Amino acid sequence: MKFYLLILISIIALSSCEKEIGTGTHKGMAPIYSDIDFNDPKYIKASDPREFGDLGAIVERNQYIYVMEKYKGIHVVNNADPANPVTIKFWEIPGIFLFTLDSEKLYAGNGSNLWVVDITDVNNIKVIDVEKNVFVNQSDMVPDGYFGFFECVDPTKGLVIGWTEKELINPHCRK
Amino acid sequence: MKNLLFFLLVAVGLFSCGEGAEVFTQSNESGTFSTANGSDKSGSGNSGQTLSGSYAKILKINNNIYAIDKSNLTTFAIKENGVDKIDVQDVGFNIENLFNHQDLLFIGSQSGMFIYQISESGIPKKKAQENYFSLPGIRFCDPVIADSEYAYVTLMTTTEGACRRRFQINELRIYDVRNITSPLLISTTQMEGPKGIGVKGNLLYVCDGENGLKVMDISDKTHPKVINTIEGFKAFDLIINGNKLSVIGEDKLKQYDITDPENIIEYSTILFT
Repeated sequence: MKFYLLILISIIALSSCEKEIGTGTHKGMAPIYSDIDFNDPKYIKASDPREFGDLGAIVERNQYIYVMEKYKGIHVVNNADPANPVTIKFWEIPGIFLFTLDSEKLYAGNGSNLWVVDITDVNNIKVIDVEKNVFVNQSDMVPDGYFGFFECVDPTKGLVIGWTEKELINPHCRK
Repeated sequence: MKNLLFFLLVAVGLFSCGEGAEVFTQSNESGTFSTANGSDKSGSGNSGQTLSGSYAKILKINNNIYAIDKSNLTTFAIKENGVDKIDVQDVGFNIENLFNHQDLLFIGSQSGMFIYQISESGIPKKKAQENYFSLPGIRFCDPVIADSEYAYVTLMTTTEGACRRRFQINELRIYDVRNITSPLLISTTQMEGPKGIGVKGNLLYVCDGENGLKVMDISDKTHPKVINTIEGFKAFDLIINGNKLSVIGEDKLKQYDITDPENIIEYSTILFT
């Protein structure tokens, strides 16, 4: 019995060699909070094409490709000629984490909301409906693809829309 | 003492390769279906189909919208000027992708795969839950996609703490889902860092993380074979649209002509930095 216990303990020890939470100064990551009210429809609008950032989801329909930039919006690409795709618009939807669409309507989620947006005119999109409090837990609680110390997320400060490098003093979170 | 050492070595060995080395033998003959995520062919005034990548979290199917957040599957009915929430179900912890094939919804989570069937009322009903191999501290990033007979899952570990990286599991799994209530694991294939996937007939297109795109022949589901690799960029997700393939990396959109899967021709790259 002792023998098996020893094996078990060894395995656990091997699989969890994490060190203690840091004291002193450490290089690490800190969350960036959004200061935009995601419940306000005025931030949802079509604007000029912009640089690609953290691309997160892709949808194709007819001659268009729609690429979501996490927490920012949707790049609209006219792909009538796949050899020469042209980004024609950026639909701003702060906090966006999911979307789909048909020819007339865009369904996009940000924060806890699902927005229905009229997209019949690609250059002038209009919010027509919103379902509030239908999504939960959208904040990233840990930095993606990063291992090390980070500043713990404080959900009362708003939704986390990214991470930045920072000198951390006595950090309490680590992955 | 020797015994103990031996046991420890065996244990560590098991941990570090997971179930990766195992290949279950079950042959299959058929399976020449191709599929795309999303079956919304309704295009009012415009006969188009909306195609979504494998990391989709929301799909329009017939007259409903299905969406996942980190733990729930929510159904919305489309009305004339908006939507109404008609159902919400707790699926599990950290669910990541939603895939539709016929009347089935496949949901990938960090710990397993779920299969739901959409009833006539449009409300999904849970049919199966398949838990992946799990270890404390190890979670998977894993989309699931499917055709009429098989589900394809890529598992990529996100390990917590550098010292655990020896326990990485990066693999492609193929499940027989002809009986949707009890998915059957058919094969497990080692990959480098698999992410988004798409299936077209007997070919599987897999974004292999830092290592670009892999084309796999899956005519033998027990032994998927890499037949082509496009390297040199980070690939995250993809859409197969007929003979055209779109791939997104972190900052670029690339398109390919895949008429000949062994000789894929690049159409274009949009890159903004």
